[in-house]
Amino acid sequence: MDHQIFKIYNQEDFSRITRGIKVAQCMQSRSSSVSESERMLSQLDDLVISDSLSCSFCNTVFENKTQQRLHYKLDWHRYNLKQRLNGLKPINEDKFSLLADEGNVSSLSGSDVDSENEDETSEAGSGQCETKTLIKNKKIEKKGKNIESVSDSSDTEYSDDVIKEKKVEALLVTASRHSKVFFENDDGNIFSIYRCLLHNKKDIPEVDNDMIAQALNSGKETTWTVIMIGGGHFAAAVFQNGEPIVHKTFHSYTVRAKQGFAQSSRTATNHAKSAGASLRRYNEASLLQHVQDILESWSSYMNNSSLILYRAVGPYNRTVLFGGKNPPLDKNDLRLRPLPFPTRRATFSEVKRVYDVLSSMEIYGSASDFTDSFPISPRQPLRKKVSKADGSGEILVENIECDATNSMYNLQDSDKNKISVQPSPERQHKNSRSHIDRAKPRKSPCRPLPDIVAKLAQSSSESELDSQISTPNIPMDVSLIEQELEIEFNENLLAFQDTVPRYMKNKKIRRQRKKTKKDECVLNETLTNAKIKLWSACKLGDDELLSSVINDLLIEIKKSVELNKIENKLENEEDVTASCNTVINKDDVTKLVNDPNEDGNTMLHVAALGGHLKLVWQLMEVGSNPCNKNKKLQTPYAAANNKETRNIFRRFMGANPDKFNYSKSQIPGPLTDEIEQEELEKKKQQRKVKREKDKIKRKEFELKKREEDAKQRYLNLSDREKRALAAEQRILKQGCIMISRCFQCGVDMAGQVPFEYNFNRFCSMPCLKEHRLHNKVVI
Amino acid sequence: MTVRVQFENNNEVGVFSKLTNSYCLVAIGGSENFYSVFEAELAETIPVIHASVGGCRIIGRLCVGNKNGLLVPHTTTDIELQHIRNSLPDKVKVQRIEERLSALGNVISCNDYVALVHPDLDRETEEILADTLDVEVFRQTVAGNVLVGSYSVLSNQGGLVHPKTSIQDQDELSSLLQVPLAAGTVNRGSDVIAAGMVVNDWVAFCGMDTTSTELSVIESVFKLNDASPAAIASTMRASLIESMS
Repeated sequence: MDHQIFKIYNQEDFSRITRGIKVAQCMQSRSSSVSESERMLSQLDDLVISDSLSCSFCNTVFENKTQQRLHYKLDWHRYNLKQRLNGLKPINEDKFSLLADEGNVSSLSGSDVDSENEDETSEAGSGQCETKTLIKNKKIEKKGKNIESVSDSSDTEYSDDVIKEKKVEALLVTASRHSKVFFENDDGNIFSIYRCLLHNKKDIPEVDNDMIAQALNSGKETTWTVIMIGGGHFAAAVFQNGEPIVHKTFHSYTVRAKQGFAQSSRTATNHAKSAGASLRRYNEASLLQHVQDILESWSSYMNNSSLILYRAVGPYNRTVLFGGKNPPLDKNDLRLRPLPFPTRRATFSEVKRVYDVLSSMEIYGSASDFTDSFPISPRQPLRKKVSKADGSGEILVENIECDATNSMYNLQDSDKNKISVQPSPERQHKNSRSHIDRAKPRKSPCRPLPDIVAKLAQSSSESELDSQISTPNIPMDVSLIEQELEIEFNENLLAFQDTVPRYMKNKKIRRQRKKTKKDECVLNETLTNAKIKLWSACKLGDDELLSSVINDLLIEIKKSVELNKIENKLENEEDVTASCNTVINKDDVTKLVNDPNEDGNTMLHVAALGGHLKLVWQLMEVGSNPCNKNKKLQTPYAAANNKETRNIFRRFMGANPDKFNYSKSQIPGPLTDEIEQEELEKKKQQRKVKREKDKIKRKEFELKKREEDAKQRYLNLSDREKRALAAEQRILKQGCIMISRCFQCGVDMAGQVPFEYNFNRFCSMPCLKEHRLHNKVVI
Repeated sequence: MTVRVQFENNNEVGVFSKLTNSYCLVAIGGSENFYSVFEAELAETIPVIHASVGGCRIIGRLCVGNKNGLLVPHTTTDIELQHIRNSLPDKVKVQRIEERLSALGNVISCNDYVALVHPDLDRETEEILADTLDVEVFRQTVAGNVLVGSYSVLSNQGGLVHPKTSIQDQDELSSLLQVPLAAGTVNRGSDVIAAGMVVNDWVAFCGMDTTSTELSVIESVFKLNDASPAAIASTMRASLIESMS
């Protein structure tokens, strides 16, 4: 059980410990196996399709393949997958079906993420509780096992097996690479010896027996030389049975202060000629000489020693030991071993420490304990070793820091466990943290309010609810009061009343239509007749018919008004209702006029389309609203075909500015005679300006044309004529009046266009003819 | 046969290509080097199509397919889809999918018979997947990762999964998928296997960084050592002829 350290040079202990020595199990497997990559490849060769019929996510076993395949499509499996991803416990099928019945997991398909989140969070709450209890159990048990893996899976027995397997595997890997070799002795205890004491790196013994022989041998040959060199420091000693026989330490200035690097490595790149550089160069040479001298003087000791342990990092330090014409150490010496762990500055005390560490054999207790306690990372034992040499007091602290699960040193059981278990909740916490999906919204945790806030909240609630006096020590009971305050914005929105969304409008229209349909039967005959007439009048453009109908209607209205008056007088005596149907008032007429047909056109639209100016005027006078829109969303103004019709609308607007709300009729503005006059004036002026412009343009055009003609004519002339023309002009310029005379009659031809043949000029055709008759030229 | 290849100095060839038993898609705009490697290996047997998906070159991560069909995400433009349709063999069905997880290659991993999908994949997508690719669909994770398409590569011969997949998970997956599985890496230790390599039944392409050990793992898992279309025919010949007679 105890972790003990013995010295290898102590013959009694050594023989006692190594009684019945054999290589520990973890090492055996390594030595028996070939190289790692080969083993992996051999594994790959016999890759097979496994026939495991189980699902580790749901902890289930299947009877056959079909059941297995079906399982992976179930919602239950998916749910457990998510649980696992969130670091929660899987649930069994019954529990899931219960959940599903409650409707908590109804939407497991990928599309509904939000609903999933909700039940996940609810589950998370319960899951946390369970893990908490688990941690508690662990604390009670104080087994010092790997808590992470235990809390991961619910089934502790099952997980134990897995952990053990994993541990053994990890152990095999690390032990085979470890700087120590582990042996087992008769007592069943595992102990370790540094590998560098047994064999060289190059000739690793294939057979366990060789290694055992080497181990036994290492105890007998206890004369070692330890040489350390680095950074200008040199320290060497020869030990025999734990005592240094000779030792030597010195330091020379070879390394640039605070910059590092040996001077020689610097000078390779740039040859510094500073005083320091030359100093260091000199010192390097002297160091080399010094070391060679020392080692030569020690040659007898060195030849006797069974091992030469050295530390020389970097090419420079190595050349000191192995370089030169006659190196102090032979590179191929089998006794040479590099130190298997980092060391500090080469001093005599460090050399002693190194010897101390290397010569110690550690006993770890029985094999089973060892498997549990062996640290996975191979680096940790080294650190521990360092601390051990410094003092036993530090060991514990270091251990706990290094590995909480490491129960290698059970010297002070209770103390250690207390400390080692403590960090575990943190670790658990970290573990659960790592599973939080930060992309998803999470429920905000409900925490108790801070004292000040709680007090404030309470005091305010007390002042409001003076009747309800709650106990002052329960701040969380304070309830928020909801008050509904209805604010009416209708007044502000009056302006937008008629901007109704389309669907509402449609509804309204439909409703209206229904109403009118209902009403139609109620409406009296005069109205219906009038309507038909009006429509036909609008379509035909018959304004006499229209005016007559409207006059009729107006007369009717007057009549009915009078009738009403009479009825009002006789109200007491007669029942009015009988005559109610026959009563027509103005509203009915306007309604009639504003009724749309199946295209949404009102009579006004029809009239405007037809371009019946008088009809439009009359209709609007009667009350047909120019703001009505047809199905193309055109007002009558927009629907009008020609300008005159449109002007009629504008005129009406000018005449009756208050009759309708024109803002929606798309009529641009009122039109009166004055405005029309102004417009006419404006147009006239514009036309005048335009005409003038045209004139100027035409003049320019003519000038251009003339110029163009002249050019063309000149171009058509032969070169000779051009020359003649030029000469003529020259003469003209000179001021002489050139008089050309007719060849025949000698009349002055100035200002005339001469007739010409054979370069002879004539005043008229008869002269030319005559000339030709007289001088007949054969052409 | 396993070939090392690089896409413009990038080793993640699985991102820029998609390989199946009946066609191969490669990203447009690559160097001729990249294309010629694929064409030299494949051009005799299956078409090598230069394509893009939604204007992106990361086609390997965006689409998923096997010898029966090809699924592309909704980001694919009509022209791209038309081009892919025109270039693919007639019997390969092409389908555009409306799916929230639009990098289909990352969330689906499949061979010609089975598919592993992300647990959150839409039901509708799952159905389309089963119909178009003619596969049986299982929702599962690989080594605790939901991106099964990134962390596993499947062929009809075998499969490579994330290096940290536990032995137990490997066993379960292997018995579910009915192919032998191994955990491994590509590109000198990259665990995003599907990004680092593409594979079909007779050839694999992996990144230039892939070590020889990784190559040998790949070759033995996917049984590529002496596999070629001709070799398959010759090995199966006896059984084929027997069944015909």
